[in-house]
Amino acid sequence: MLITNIIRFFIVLILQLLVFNNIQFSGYVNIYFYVLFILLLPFETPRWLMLISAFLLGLTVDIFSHSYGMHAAASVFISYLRPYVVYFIRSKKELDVGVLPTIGHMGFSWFLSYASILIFIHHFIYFFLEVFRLNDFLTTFYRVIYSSIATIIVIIAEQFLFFKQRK
Amino acid sequence: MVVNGNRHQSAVFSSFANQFGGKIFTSYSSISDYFQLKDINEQLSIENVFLREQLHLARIEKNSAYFQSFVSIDTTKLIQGDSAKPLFDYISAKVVSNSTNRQRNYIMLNKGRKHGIRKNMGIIGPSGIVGVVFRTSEDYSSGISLLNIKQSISAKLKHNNELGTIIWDGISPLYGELDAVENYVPIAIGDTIVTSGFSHIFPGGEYIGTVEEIREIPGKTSLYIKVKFNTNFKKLFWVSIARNLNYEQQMALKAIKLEN
Repeated sequence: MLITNIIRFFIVLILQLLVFNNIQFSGYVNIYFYVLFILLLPFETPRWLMLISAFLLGLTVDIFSHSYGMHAAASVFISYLRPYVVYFIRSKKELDVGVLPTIGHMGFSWFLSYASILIFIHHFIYFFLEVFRLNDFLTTFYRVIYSSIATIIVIIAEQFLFFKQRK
Repeated sequence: MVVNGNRHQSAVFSSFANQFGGKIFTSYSSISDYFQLKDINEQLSIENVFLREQLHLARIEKNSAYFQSFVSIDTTKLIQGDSAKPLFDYISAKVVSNSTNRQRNYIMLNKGRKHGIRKNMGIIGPSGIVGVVFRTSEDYSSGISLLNIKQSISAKLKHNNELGTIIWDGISPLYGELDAVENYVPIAIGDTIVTSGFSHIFPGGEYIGTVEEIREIPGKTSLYIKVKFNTNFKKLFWVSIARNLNYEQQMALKAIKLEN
């Protein structure tokens, strides 16, 4: 489990930096695929490990995109919020040991609401830190919405491509 | 935030990030380059044609009777004196990373301190200006692109030398805004905008863009002027860095403050 997550850390990083950072639609649609790593961490990951790994991930993305600290801030914030979101949208099913927050294990509708909440918060923080002003609030807000939708679509597509049904 | 607030941390971090990021991006772009060869060639040939035209015009001017009359009485030498030596020279650099989709876009080049690059040098693309160098490491340098909401560059209208400032509103990578032009200034759609040459970053007369739209802002004496950039920021491969040869002198003069 640990190894899988370490490998995933590097895979999302490489995909983000070399593929998704180069996809440049209009400026309204920026895909931040690396959030997937934080979304897919196992439920029983200790809090401190989650925060630290999210920080390292965000900081590495920052280094390569000249956005010192913005990705790190947004990532740490959603990894902090994650347990509360999981509690908030908990399904009737008990969370057994070994259950992962993926479509295969938790079902599509659970994953969709879980991913949308966290991705929206992440993008909201990131885009507002990036402009760092409340002028043109709506423009920035549209940017948040469109980018969130794009990221959610890509992440859900990834989930279906590498679908693993729970045994 | 720590990094942007403190000088030392900022310098160490950015130098590390520059050097490390530069290496990774260079090896990446050495692969992706092959897919862009067609575009690169096209840009180069267009730039060549443009430069050849200018060379031709310069020759005509030099041979004209008007110019010759000056040369014969040697006035040019009298006026220009020592300053006849060039004010800028250029260093060719390759773009290793570039973005257009953020609010603060940066551009990374494969030349650094080792090649004589320092802060506040202008970056000029094949069809117009691109940005200004703001951080350097040993082998790489980072520039603030024109597509950055914090960037502003001194510009003028080519036909009447009316001054303004080029800024970017963060929306489209194709269009910028020419700020601070008063509404009595005669201006028309399609007018060319060039660098003013007053900024010690760019030489004067470098292309920026053309006027796309003019609108009066109610209650203000300045116009809203939408500018279409000459540079295609999505296709930037090779650029030249303009090095101001009198930079130190100009900075020293600027640093002198009036006593009392």
